[in-house]
Amino acid sequence: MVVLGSGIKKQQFVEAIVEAMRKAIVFGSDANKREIEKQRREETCGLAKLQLGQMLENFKVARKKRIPLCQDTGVPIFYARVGSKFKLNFDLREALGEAVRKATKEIPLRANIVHPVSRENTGNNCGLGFPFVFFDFFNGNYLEIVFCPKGGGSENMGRLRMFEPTAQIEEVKRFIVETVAEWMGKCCPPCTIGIGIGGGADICLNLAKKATLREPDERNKDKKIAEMERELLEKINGLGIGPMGLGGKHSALAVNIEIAGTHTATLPVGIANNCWPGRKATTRFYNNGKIRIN
Amino acid sequence: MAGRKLIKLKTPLGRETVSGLMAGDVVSLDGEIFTLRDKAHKRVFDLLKSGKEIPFDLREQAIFHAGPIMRKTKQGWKVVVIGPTTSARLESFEPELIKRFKIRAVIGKGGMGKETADAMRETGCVYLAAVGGAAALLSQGIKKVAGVFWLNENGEAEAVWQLQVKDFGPLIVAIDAHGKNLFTENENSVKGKEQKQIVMLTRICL
Repeated sequence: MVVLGSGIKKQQFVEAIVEAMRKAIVFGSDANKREIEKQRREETCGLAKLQLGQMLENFKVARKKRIPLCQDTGVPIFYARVGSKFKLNFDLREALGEAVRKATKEIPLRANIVHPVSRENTGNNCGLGFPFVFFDFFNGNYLEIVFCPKGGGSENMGRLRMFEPTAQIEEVKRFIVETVAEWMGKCCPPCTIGIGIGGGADICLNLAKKATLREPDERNKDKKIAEMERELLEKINGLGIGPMGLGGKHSALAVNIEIAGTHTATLPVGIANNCWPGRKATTRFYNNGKIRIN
Repeated sequence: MAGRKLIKLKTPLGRETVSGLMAGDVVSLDGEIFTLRDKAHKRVFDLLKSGKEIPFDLREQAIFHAGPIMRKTKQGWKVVVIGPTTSARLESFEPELIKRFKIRAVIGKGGMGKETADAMRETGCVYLAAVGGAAALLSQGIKKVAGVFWLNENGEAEAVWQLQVKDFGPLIVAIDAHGKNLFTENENSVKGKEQKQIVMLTRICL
């Protein structure tokens, strides 16, 4: 079988990744923006309406001036899906590092990576394992890179609990509602809340993070899980946390759940969230040189 | 803003001005603010403990829990974007800082605890809540970088930036100088509703 195209050059790749990072950092999510517009229309609390209005205005100003939505530009973590027929001609990790250093200077990004103990900043968002890249492989003809930065405030709210395998599902739901109540305004709500159930301690947190990448109006394809998503969102809204924790009708953009099989003796549950700007960019590279950024 | 008028304030804020503010008021600032976050708070207290001088004057100032993205140009430092960081991390420092320097305003997000609110009532200080993540918008109120301290020691995000501001805001008075704290009030309200929501969770799902 002949594969057409000679693949992507490293320099093309680096520039496209910088462009994708800029798109995430400056534009954020249109789906989140639509949901915030809806929440503002429905809101009756004055301070909540004011703050939702500022979020919408912020999208406008950032996009017009091409500056970051938020000063906390997160840390560089990438999810790479490598197609079996894609011609990878260069060191992917090295190229992503080059893109991160370039993006840090040009967008610009805040230098956010520090040594975990000494707290010394690496200065360029690289080093000590960063940029982190998670790989998946599939049968196909493109390379896909997903970039989804988020602030430290939302990252610090991540939670994990290993339930007894005999625990009732309502205990899991209670854990989720209690955790979000504990967060209050610290994760810049309204957030997209991601839940991972099953897999293992590390896998359920990965599932939770993957869940936050789904759009707020996209329900899980399994009807029963989708029902659980709707129910949890309703209960979380019933807490009355509101935008930035100052009260209001809506306390989250969505609750998204991803599940996986799990060891018969375990019930791992991970909770993650992605703050309201919904920063994300997906880039696809094809052998014929085509590049698509979404 | 449904009948809520924007109150324009000018720094330095006096005790009387601060006492006139009520939780729920919406304000904007003209004048000067100092950014002060994790490393800077720690350094202030380390210096005070060892009896050393602090290179900037915090007396009756407004501080901002923030770590900006900065750019150095031929005309000097410029703010690219600046927004609030989570104030709760600074709870252990703030009451003492407010009392010692008679800080008049603390700008941040997510609110602060009882001890800080008590110090605010005792001293005459308010907590002004900015919308987290709305940095591009908030930055439009930054006019000039008047100075920077501890840049080499703390790095760009954690340095103390002295900023001149105009129409900086709108900011919500979330903790006033009379002990009213909208964050803890809402937290209590949420705790009250939590049990009701949990009890309503369906038992059978999968």
